[in-house]
Amino acid sequence: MSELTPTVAIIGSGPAGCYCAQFLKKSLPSAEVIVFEALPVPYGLLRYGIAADHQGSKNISAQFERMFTRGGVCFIGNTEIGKDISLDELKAAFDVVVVATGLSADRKLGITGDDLISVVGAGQLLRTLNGYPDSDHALGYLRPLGQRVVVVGNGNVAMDVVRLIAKSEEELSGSDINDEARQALCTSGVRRIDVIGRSSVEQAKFDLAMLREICHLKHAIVRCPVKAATFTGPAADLLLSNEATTNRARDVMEINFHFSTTPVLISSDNQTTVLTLKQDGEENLHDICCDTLITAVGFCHGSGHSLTATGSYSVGWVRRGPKGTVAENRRDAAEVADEILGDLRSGRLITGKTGLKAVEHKIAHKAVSFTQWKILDRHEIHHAAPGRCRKKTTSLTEMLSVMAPPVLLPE
Amino acid sequence: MLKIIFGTESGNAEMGAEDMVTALTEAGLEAVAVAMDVYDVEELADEEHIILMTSTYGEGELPMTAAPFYENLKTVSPDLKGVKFSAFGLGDSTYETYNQAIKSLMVLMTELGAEQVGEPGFHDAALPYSISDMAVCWANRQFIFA
Repeated sequence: MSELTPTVAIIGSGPAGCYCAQFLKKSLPSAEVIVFEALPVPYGLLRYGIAADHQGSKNISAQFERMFTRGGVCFIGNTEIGKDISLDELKAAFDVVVVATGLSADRKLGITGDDLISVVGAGQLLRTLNGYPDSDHALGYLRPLGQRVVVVGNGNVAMDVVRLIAKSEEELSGSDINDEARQALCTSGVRRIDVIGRSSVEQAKFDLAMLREICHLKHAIVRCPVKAATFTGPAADLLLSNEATTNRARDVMEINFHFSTTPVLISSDNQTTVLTLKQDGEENLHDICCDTLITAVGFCHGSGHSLTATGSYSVGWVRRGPKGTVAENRRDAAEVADEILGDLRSGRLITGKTGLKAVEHKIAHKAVSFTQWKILDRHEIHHAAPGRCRKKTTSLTEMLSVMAPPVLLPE
Repeated sequence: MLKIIFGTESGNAEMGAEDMVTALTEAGLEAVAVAMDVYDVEELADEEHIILMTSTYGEGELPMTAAPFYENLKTVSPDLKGVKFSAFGLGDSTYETYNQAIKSLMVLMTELGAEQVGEPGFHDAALPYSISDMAVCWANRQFIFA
């Protein structure tokens, strides 16, 4: 079985794709395993999704680095499947194709006004704060958040948004947050954040540890102004005990949690955005005003063409929906790798396709290697500002120029 | 023979365990790594010296793959007198429940009569040191340069 030498192409170098490569290579040491990535840089949400102040969670990159340097898995960056190589060409060249492209777009609220300019997706915002390379979309969101922000959603992503806006310069020390984006958004000008969630406090999806981090913010007061009759559970206890502590400095940010509250419609009144809400148990609707409304209600496919997985495997969010972080996607990757192995062993999948050699001529002029990524990696770390662990390059052109310095011409 | 029994969720503890095996083996010691989710707790009583290695998740809990190991240990409650164990934990001091999982395991093992040997090692993801480096350094101190 270890004699099996299939050619495997994985599309996407986020955690799901990388874990899948890792599991496959471990079971099939002689297989050719290639991970394609559209960006010049690897790691997907590990780099652009996990919050800039949660560096610890990003350290799984050490596993993937090992895999790409001495583990026999090949990284091919700056190569977009569907553009540089068609999916059909890839399927013709590789025995196994695994789609690991994730879900790049923010789900909309699905209510009137959800497309107003003041309504911003959390994924978009976090990506920008994580230094995602310049694109038309990213620039469009860089307007000051204003003084009052509403965040709709009760998951960990919503909590990341609140925390990153509310953290002071000192609290962001050691992160690799994109300071230009922070300044353009004027995060320090935000005075109040209202977090709206449909579920009760007991059923709110955020991890308790995330709520705890917010309660421990040095320059914010965290409250739950309207508590349901049954305000119970660990999250409720945490909020209550936090409210009981009163020693806070003046001029702090207010963070208010509103549970069992459903957004009904969004409108604008002059320069103000108005979110109309329905509180469980209340007949009348009520309004909340803000300057920016950030939606953190999940992810879905972007408007660009997404690769359909017919005749190939898929792994991670593109397969299961936007659920779970690193650990869950590792489990998914293990499952998919097992399925592939089973299909290879049973003969359901035949091998013999050429692999990379069949398509490399199409991308030789643009593909970047892992070694080239490491040049940029060191460059970003080297150029870190004080209090930052790196300064991410936010322009694709600059990335590529750092990775491939101009060849010196003979005189 | 040193047996490293690891509980992993992200693969970090597994990588640390494998690197520890490599370092110990290179130093001439017999070492092997096995995952908690495939290890039978009934065999623990027969072990000479084990190294328990796990990360911490959620509210100070063991990873999903390791939780059954802990639960089985409690249920089966074997007499571990004569069994030596060392412990290495992976955690993140950003969180209050820093390295709680390995600590719970240490307590349980001691309650069951096992003898903890040497200093426990802790990797802190909030610090810029690699898991491999920390795990190997600790193993060197505990078993090679002891």
